[in-house]
Amino acid sequence: MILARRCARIIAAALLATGPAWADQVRRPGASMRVETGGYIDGLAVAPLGGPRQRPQAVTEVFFGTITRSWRTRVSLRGGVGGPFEGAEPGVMNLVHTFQNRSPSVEVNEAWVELLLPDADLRVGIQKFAWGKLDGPPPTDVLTPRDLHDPLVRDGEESKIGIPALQGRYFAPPISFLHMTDLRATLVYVPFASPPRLALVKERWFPPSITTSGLGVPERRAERLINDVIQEIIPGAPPIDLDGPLRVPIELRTANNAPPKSVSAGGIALRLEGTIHEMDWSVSHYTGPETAPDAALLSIASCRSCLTALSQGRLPIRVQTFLKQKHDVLHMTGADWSAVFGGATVRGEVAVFQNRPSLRDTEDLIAEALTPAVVSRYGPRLVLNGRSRIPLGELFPDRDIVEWGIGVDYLINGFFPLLQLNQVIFVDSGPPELTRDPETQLLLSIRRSFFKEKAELELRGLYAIEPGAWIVFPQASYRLGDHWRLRLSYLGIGGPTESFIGQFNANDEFVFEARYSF
Amino acid sequence: MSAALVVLVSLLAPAVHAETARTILDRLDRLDRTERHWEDRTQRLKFRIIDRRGGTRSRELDLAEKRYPNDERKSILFVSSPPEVKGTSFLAFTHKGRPADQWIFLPAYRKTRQITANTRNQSFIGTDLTYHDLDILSEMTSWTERDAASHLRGDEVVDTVTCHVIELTPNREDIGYKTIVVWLGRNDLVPRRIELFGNEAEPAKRILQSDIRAVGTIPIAHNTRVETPHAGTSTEIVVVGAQFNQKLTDDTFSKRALEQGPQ
Repeated sequence: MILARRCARIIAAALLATGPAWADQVRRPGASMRVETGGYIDGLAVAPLGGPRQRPQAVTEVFFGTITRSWRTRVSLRGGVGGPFEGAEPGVMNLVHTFQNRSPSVEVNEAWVELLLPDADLRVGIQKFAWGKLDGPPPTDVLTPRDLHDPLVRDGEESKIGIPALQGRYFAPPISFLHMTDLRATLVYVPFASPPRLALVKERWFPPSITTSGLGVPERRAERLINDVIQEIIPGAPPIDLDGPLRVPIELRTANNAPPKSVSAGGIALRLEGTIHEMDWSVSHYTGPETAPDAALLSIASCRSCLTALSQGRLPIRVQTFLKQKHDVLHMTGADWSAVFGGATVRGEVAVFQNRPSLRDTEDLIAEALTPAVVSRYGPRLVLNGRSRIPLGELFPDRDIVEWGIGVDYLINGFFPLLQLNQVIFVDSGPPELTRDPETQLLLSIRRSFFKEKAELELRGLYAIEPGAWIVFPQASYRLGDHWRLRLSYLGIGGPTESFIGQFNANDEFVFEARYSF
Repeated sequence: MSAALVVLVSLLAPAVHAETARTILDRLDRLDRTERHWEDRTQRLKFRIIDRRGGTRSRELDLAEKRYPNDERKSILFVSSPPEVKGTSFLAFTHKGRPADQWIFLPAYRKTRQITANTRNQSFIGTDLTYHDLDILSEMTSWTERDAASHLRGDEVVDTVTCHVIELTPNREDIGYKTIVVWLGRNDLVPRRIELFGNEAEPAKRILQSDIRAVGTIPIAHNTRVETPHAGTSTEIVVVGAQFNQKLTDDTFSKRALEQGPQ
């Protein structure tokens, strides 16, 4: 462990300090091999207008690759220091844990070898996948998990976590009479699950809908519940009078739970794609480990000297809750399509999910656990033994979902507007989720470059119609020479806290980013 | 658009006693179709973009182009510098009479994306040339009098080379310039200077070509400077390497090639 931390420190420092020095592209004399290196160093400062703090952060990514006519290789390392982490320790980010608190940190972002054949290629190693055609996270892009410690400001693709996989692609010849070209079939095998990384409890982007520091139950209701329990233990016992409302402190922690490594725990994906009459299309299927957030809430209540305390009108319950990493199998079948009509590019995509975890509000789970029927299951044990597990419903129940979207972009007078409509529909019955059923989102982006692409203004906005939640993210970028990009952004979030987006409505912030690419 | 760019640095010409602008332009067009004809070409280009205050930015790219029947073209372009956009590539299928089909591969996004060809007045990778300028420069040599009336102003010396000065007055609205003046080398019919005029007396764009050297039978300008006088900006283009007629296969212009980068 100590060695790993030292290694992480040394590698992170080396990445931050020496990356640019060896950025280059070299063709070895007398050989057909090309060597490529490069990367970036990012400095990020967040000025929060509410919500928990986020320290300044430095992130770097460096890559090294070789290319010949028959082979390609690539190794990419990512390191970071500071940022959203609280109380972090230096270390190496692993591929199996959802909750990792590392700073400085280092990780293998990509490390693969690819064999190139005339009509096929085969890639093995840690790699990333990008499926789908829509903007934002495309519905069919489910193979690669993301690091969600800073989910909105950090670029969605840069936040992807490389996963071990074997990918084979076959490039079929064109079918002239059908005007089909660029036909390819992709088969991917994922040997074991790699979960996404979620923010930790004290971090800025930990979902407030899961956070709960305490529970208050009105005096009358608490008395009714405890008296039912007492009657179950000691029939005919005199009723208990509490000396006020019940207040239960809740301590929330996270717990990792590495996924199984058996062959059956792996995943498989297939994608067929091509171009027909200048329209790009693809159909895809994935059955394998869930790559979206998935966790269970496990609660243990303790009540020391409960009966004695009750006789004095007190109920000294404390609850310790663990948000524990969970694993599941997801099935996704999807299709996407794009075409150009009169200068506008239109993209569409649909994905049908079986067993897609969807976040519930913890308040709802607690309310269910305080119903008389549920209290009768754990109450007697808690009072008699002083400790009991609280049966909570699923925080991320598996649901069957259809997600679809259609978007259009157009270039007009130098402005590049993009409008996209996305919708999530639950096709089975289940408890209420933070995502509405249906939930329709409008995504708008307008971009314009100035001074021959030296400066750029962009406004991104998202409005979730049913819950009335929104995000605005304007940003101004300026390029200095060939290496530097400076960017100032504002992130504003609004809407009801009982919605997926609105729960972060206290996290408005200004962000300043300086990136040196090499 | 990449195809058009290459045309910019390889306009042709023979030595003759041309008496009218039209006969000179016809000879140039004939040369393009015979001894200077090419089926495919590859080039490595370096751009230096200079702003009003003298600040510079650079771009480096590799491009390949192949001609097909019915004036169709396929071109593929790989950006190798600056670092921020290194690995970005474009694939374009250019058709006669309808917009091109275009795809972009962004390495950061790891996917190929179909994009609009509606880029007429957009700057080409931040340079002083727009995509429309590149189209004009590529097709100018094949214009007839119906497209643009030509007039021989006389001869002038540009960088020690005697040139025919030909004024073209476009008859087509879509050309977008009022007047185009071309200085064609009297001996090789390679443009040494091109000025594109809008409504102002000063040219909207000025293109200067030098270091003319033949690659096989095809002379190309290895140095080009594009100026936008009213903005005070300019772009220098250097051809680092050029090859013609290598029998490039269709696989060179595929999405697979787009994602794999230059070979």
